[in-house]
Amino acid sequence: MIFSDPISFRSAVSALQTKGQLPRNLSAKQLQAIRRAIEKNAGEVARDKITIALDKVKDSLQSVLNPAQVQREPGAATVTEGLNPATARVTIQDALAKLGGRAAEMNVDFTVKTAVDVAQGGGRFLSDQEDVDEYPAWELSRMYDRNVPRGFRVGPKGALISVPTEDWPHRWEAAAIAAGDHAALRVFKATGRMVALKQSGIWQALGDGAGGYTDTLGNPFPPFAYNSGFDVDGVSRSDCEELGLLRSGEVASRTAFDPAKLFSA
Amino acid sequence: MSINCKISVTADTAIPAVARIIARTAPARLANVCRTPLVSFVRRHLAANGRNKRGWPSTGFWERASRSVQSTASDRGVLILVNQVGVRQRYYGGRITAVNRAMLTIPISPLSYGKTAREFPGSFILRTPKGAWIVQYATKNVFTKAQTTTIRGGRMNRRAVGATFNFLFKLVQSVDQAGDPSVMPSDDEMTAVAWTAITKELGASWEK
Repeated sequence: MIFSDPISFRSAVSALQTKGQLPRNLSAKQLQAIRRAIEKNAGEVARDKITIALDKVKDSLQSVLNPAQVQREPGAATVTEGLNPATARVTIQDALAKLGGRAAEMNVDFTVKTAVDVAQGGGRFLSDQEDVDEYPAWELSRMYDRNVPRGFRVGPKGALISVPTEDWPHRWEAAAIAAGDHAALRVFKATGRMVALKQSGIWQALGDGAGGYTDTLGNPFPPFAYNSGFDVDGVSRSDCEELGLLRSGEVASRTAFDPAKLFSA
Repeated sequence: MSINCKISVTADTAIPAVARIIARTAPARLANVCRTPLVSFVRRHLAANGRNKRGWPSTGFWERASRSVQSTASDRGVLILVNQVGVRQRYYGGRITAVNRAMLTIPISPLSYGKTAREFPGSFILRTPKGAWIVQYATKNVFTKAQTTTIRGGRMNRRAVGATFNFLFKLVQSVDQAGDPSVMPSDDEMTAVAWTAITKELGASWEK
């Protein structure tokens, strides 16, 4: 029996009874028991479907982040096996298509890229907490080129038009004020460099979009915003002392962060 | 004549200072000193590898490689890992063969670059004596009349075929790729970065 549209429980029972596939003399209590069993099974099936889809999404992302080292022949060198963004995209689209509806229309590519970037950024953020003595600060600067950098928009005939309030120097200044990091603000105004101690609240403020920016990702590490080409490099203790971010002999601290909120995208 | 000389140490500032310097030159600490600048150097080198030579829309391969860099420092040195599928192949080169499919699909159009064949609904395999391709009917045709005359005088009308189809992928059993060690920094470059970091650190330590 095939139903092309959802129908009520009562109609389904009636249809089955007409076909002789359900007894006609079921009591109300028995019908209720059948209904509860169907609902429980449907819920489990739905949950299973969603779980399978989510597991596929998770496995695909893991394959991009941590490709496996596989030895295809005994004694041979290992090869790296894993999904690339194109094959991850197709795998995730297939998994979501089984759920149907708008889930299949998601911008999977953008989601995969952002999730991977955030996970990798988070990993570097944690490992950078291990050398706070030697590199107590980070410097924010462009690492990856963009066709349309932040602070610009595409105008007539593809020309780039400046939108200064959107660029990273403006965001830095707003984040420094919001975080109360006067030292970072002083260094920025004196040198143009976006340098701050790892322990400064400026990093979380950048991720939170201090200054009213709504395209940020909420993390205290890069990428701070969607599709950002800016990243951080460690700044040595001697440079920090020269910039006046640390006094000689002053102990630097790690970044304070909430592990539960670390990976958000 | 004999002279007795007694030396008493009233304040030892030399040994603690030397001990501090020795501690700062411990292998684990020097590895920590080198790790961050080496990681930055490798990441920026990977990012600077640039876009594809054909000028097609970038898939961001080298940016992804740069973001995938992981590192650890220990008393044995610094380990830098580029955790991205394909980087080792580009560095060493070698033969790539299909593993889970019969053939490799090589993108031959900016439309298909960075995509899989499954992402082109309606695409199909076109076999010719010169090989096999995955093609899709073109939505815009310059030579509309040519569409109906793909065979002319017993020979394939290549112009018509080209106008009728978008050639997306070439199907091959394997490709041989030449290695390119320049995709990673050289050992000399890495050594120079590490040495600069160490001398800067030791110089600062000595001044204290």
